[in-house]
Amino acid sequence: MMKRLATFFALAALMLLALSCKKDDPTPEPSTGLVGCWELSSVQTKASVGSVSVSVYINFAESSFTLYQKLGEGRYTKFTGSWSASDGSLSGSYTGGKSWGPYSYSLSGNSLSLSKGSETDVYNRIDAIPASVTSNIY
Amino acid sequence: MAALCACWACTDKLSEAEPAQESADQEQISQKILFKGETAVSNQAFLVKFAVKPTQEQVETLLGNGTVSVQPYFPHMPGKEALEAQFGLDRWYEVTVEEGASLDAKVLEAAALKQVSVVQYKLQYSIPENEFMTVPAQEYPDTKGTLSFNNFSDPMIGDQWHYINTGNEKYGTGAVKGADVNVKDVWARLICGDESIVIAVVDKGVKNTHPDLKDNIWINADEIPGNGIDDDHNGYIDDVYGYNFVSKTGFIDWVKPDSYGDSSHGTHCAGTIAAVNNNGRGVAGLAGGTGKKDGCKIMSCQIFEGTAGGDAAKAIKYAADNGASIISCSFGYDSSISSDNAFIKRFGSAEIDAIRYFENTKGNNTVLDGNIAIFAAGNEQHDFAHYPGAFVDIISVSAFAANYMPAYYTNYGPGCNIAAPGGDMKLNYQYGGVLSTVCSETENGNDYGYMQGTSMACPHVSGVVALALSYAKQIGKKFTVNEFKQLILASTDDIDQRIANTTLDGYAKYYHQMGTGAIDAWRLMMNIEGIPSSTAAVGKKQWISLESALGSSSVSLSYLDVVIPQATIDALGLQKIQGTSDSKYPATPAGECYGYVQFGRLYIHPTKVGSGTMTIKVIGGGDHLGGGDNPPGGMEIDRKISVIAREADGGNGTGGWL
Repeated sequence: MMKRLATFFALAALMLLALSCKKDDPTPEPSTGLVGCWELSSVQTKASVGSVSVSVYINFAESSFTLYQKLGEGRYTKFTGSWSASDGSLSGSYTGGKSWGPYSYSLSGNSLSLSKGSETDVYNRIDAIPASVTSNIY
Repeated sequence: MAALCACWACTDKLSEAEPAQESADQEQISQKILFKGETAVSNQAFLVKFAVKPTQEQVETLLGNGTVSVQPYFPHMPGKEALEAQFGLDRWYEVTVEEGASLDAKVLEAAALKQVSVVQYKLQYSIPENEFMTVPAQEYPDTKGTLSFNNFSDPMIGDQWHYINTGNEKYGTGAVKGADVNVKDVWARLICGDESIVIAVVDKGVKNTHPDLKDNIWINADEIPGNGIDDDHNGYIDDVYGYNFVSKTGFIDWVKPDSYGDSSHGTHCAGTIAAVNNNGRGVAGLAGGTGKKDGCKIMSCQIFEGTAGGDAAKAIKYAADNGASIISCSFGYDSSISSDNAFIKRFGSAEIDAIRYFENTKGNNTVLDGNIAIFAAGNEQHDFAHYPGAFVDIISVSAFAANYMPAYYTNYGPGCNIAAPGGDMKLNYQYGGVLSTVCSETENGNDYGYMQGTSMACPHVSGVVALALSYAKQIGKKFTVNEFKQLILASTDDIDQRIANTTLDGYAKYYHQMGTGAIDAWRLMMNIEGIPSSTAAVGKKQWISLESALGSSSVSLSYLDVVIPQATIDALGLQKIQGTSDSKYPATPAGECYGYVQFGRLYIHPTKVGSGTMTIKVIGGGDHLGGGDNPPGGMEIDRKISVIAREADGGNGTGGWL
């Protein structure tokens, strides 16, 4: 979880042109319900050293993920890797080997909460990651 | 300026202008001609290099017909006759043709002369593209001498990630702690500059009245300003702060904007090299001293003014003749073209001859038998560097960003020798570039701003080399120019592993293509001192081989102690570790310590990005010391080593949100 945020500005998902997510993942992971596309909607964190706008989209496929993030101005950065979840715990690693998590997660309708320590990120399920994001990567 | 960029070709020049000749003769003549007529900056003048120095009468006889004048191209410097002759500078002439005459015809005519070895169209150089957006810096109040960051009082130094990268994401997504030139500990404990080291910025004019530069501006003390006389007889009138090779006057112009509205390019480069440090104002410069007027000095060799360009070759010779130890050249030909290296190596070009002359001019410093030329690699994302920096043996600099990855614009591949911070405003528009001095006259009153480009990477290497010359002078070391180039290129931090490991798309093409790595100022100082450096990973206990310091027998040597100064403990954030008892290796303590040696390896636990030295005490011969009542034994050897602690892994998803 990124530590350095004072304010958070979620970007509205206005674009209708999008990459398919669910349609590309015909065998969604039944036990977790995590498979699909998510947009970060809120961040709770205690640490702060400045004001940075942030936009994050994640596509959890069956065992891999693609993450697009933008901090501040500029283009999105694309990350890929693998993930696994069990017993309410989500963890994984980036393609290069660096691990992340574990997060405790909870699903409520179309909302996903990932928590670690005192920090919680909330994601909203979306149909697809906007093309304006996937085509605007660094 | 980009519109004026020139192309480089050594063949295919005659087909349009020359009637049929014997093919062998045509080829021979064609091979003498450098560049193309359609890309020449002048349609009235070209350059000729004779195989043997002619008399003026011979010159007039051979080339006088149909020309306005034929004059020596390089101004002669009294006392430098032998060196000028050695590199052929006394054999270059500038031919000006009559108005309306065909330049191409005269070029062919000159090339057909057996006394002529090279004919060169005059070129306009270009500043690399993608550098014409200056972002104003966030204003910080002057600190009026109050120490702030790293014991320097410069209030903007915290935004100069290219010197000290704290990994703050505001520099850009995935910013990596230590993705900089590793100068912090050099400043703190070794050197900040030396006023005898002069760096010529061959570029737009440097603002010599800038409040953060004026104390580090080179002044030609032998020239009386504004009297219209060449007081020091160096061939140039009123050249007090350098020379303007566009207007051909001593007046350095930093006000006239180019077609992009920029006039700050040279001033920005100068600030990176030697903005005044610790003056409670603005930014720091790599070799800017300590605020006691002890920084390296900037000479302005202006070859761009407004939309016009001047003679780079003459500017480089001027730098050589007037005391510069480094030329920092953030310009070049367009990188979409290549060059005939073999021809130029054998016969020369005006620029290459001038660079060789510069490199071999003695007496500008007490460290080298000559001087160092450094060029930018270019910003066109091409897989080779542009010329003349790409020419063999000339250091050409590619650019990386705050995430320790190649900047999106940088050239890479053949001709790129080393990488340095150039910034990347796509990572973060406000803070991702390089922060330095700019000209308030064309920047809405701002004295500081961000730019990006290999033009910004180049002066980072120039500044580090200036520090290195300062340090070598301080400790009394001497090198040849070639030895020093080898040291520079061997003093790098690896970035290939980050490229290999990254999860980001599009970086595979840069693998092994960014030169020897990222310039590392601390490592260069250590190399100058003869101290081997090892790289450690921040945040974990680890073994570091001592083979580079003590040879392959380091595993079986008997060690006495590891002496770690407090400054090194602080710089590396060394944590105490538990020693283990081992009778054969006395350096292995039973209690807690900051490091010990076992099996020829040093065991430490650094927690901070930083650099430092320590001394390994070892027995040379046997397992005990001789002397006293002891049986014959070995002698004590104290071997100093350097440890550079870096982030363990910048490419494996560093900066990813999860």
